[in-house]
Amino acid sequence: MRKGDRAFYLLLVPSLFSSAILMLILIHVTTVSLPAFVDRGLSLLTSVMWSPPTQDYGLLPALVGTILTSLISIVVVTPISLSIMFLVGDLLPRGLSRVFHRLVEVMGALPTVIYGLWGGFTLSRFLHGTVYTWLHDYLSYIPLFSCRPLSGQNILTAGVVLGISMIPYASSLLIEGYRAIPSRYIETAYSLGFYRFETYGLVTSIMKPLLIASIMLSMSRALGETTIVALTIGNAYVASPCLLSPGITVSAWIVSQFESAFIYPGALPALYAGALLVMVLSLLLSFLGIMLISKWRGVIYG
Amino acid sequence: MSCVVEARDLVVRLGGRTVLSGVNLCIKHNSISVIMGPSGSGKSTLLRVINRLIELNPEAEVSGRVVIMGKDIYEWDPYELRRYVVLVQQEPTPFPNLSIFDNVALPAKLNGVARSREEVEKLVRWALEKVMLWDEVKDRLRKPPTVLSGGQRQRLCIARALVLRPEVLLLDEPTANIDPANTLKIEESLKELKEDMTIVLVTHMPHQAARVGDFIYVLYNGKIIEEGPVGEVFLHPRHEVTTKLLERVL
Ligand SMILES: Nc1ncnc2c1ncn2[C@@H]1O[C@H](COP(=O)(O)OP(=O)(O)OP(=O)(O)O)[C@@H](O)[C@H]1O
Ligand SMILES: [Mg+2]
Repeated sequence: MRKGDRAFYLLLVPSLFSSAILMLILIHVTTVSLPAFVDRGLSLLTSVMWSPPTQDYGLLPALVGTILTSLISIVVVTPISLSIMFLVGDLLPRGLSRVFHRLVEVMGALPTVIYGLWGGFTLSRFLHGTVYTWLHDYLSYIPLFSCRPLSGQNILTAGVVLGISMIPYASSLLIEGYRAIPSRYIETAYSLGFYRFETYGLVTSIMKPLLIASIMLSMSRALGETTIVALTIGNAYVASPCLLSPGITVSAWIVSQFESAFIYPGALPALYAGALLVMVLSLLLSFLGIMLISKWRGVIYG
Repeated sequence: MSCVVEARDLVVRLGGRTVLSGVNLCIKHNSISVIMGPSGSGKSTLLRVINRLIELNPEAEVSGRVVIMGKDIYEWDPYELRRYVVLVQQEPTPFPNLSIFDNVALPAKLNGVARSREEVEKLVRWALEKVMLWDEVKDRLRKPPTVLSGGQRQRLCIARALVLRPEVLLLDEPTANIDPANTLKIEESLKELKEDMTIVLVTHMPHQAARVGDFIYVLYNGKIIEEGPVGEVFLHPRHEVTTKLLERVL
C-alpha cells in the first residue's frame, strides 16, 4: 500500500465512525419508541393527558408547544437577521461592519443557559409588565392572546428568547449568502438607478430561496433547543393555542420526565416517541435547507 | 459647442492608484462616441464616473468636473442621474430570479416610466424590439434568462436599460465574447437608437468602431491620447498606441 492510500484509510475511519453513530442513534430511538406508537396509535399524538400512574401518555401539549415556540422564534429571528445582513453587508462602512459582525458572532458563543436565565428572569418580567398585559387587554379577541398572562414565563417568551438566541446563526447564514451574490447584480441595480431600498428589495428576492433555507435551518435548531425553553416557558403540560399561557416543549418535557420514566412502564417509549418526531422533523428541515442552498448557488452563479 | 457629457481635468484614484489622470471630453448629442484603449487603461472606470456608479467603491477619489446636460454630476441626485445616464456593464447580468419579461419590466415599474400593465407590456415589447430580441423571446417571456445565449442575455440587458428612456446610454464592451451574428444585431440597434439618445461605447474591436462610431477617444494609461471623428483618426492615427489598437496588436 502506498503512503497516500494509507492516509486515505486513516481519514476514512473517523468519517465512517460518525456516520455509524448517526445510524445507531436513529435505530436506537426508533426501536425504543416503537412500542408507544404500536400500543397507543394516534392517541399518542392527540391526547393531552400525561399521567404515569394511569398510564396515559399523550404528547399533544409538548408537540403544540414545540411547534408554537419554533414558529415564534422564526418570526423574531428572520427580520432581525435580514436587517443585520444589510447592515453588515452594505450599510455600515467596512471597519464598523467588521466590528459589528464580530459582536454578533460573539453573541453566538454565549451558552444557551445564559439566554435562558436572562429570558426567564429579566425579559419575561419586563414583557409581562408591558407587552403582555397590553396584548391581552386590546387583542384578546385573537385566540393567540385570549388568556390572561399570569406570569411572564410562557410560550411567547420562550419563542422570543429562542429567536434571539438564533440571531447569530441565522445572520451568519444570511451574511454568507449575501456575500455569495456576485456584486455585479447589486451594481447593475444601482446602475439602473434603483434606490437603495429598491436594490434591497431585489436582493431579498434574489435571496428568497436562501431565506427559506435559513428559516428551515433555524427552525430545525429551534425544534430541539432545550435549556432556553425549560427556563422560559413556565413548564405546564397544557395544550393551548394561547401564547400567553405557560406551556412545554418535547425536549423540555423529556428532560423533566427522564428520571421518573424508568419507574413507570410505558413512559420511556412515549418520551422517545416525542424525541423521534422532533428528530425526524429537524433532520428533514435541515436536509431540505441544505439542498435549497446548494441549488440556489447554482442559480446565482449560472 | 454643447456637450451632453463633458469632463474637465477628470482624475480618478482607486485605492491610491491613479486610474484616470486629466481626462477631458465633450460628447455630443445623438452621436456614438467610441472609447478604445488597451486593457486596464481606465475605460470602465471612465463610464462609472460619468453616472456616479464609482461611488459604490468607498476607496474611489474623484476630482475634476463632469457635467451632464449642463449640470455638474454632484448637483444631480445620484439615483436620478443613473436613470438618465444608464450604464450597461461589461458582463451581461440579467437578474437570475426574474423572468425575461420581468427583467425588462422591473426598472420601468420602479421608475414609474410606465404605470398600467398595458403600458409596461408595450414598453417591454418596444425595448425588446429595439434590440431585435422580441421575435426570439416572445414565446418564452416567462422563462428565466438562463435559457438565453450570452448574446441574447446582453441584448436583454440593453433592453432593460432602454425602458428607462435614458438620455445617455453607456455601453461597456457589449459585444465582448459574443458571436458575430449577435454583434451585428447590437450594432444595428445602436445605429437606430442614436436617433433618440447619445451613446458612449467602449469596445476592443476597431471594425466595430468604424462601423458604428462617430467620434473616437483613445485612452492609454488613464489619459486620452487621441480623439476625433472616427474617419479621420482611422486614416491618420497620430499616436503609435492608436495604430497598434487599430491593428489589434494591443
Ligand atoms: N476597485 C479597484 N481598486 C483598485 N484598482 C482598480 C479597481 N478597479 C479597477 N482598478 C484598476 O484600474 C485600472 C483601470 O481599470 P478599468 O476597469 O477601468 O480598465 P479597462 O480599461 O476597463 O480594462 P478592460 O479592458 O480590461 O476592461 C486597472 O489597472 C485596474 O487594475
Ligand atoms: Mg473594462
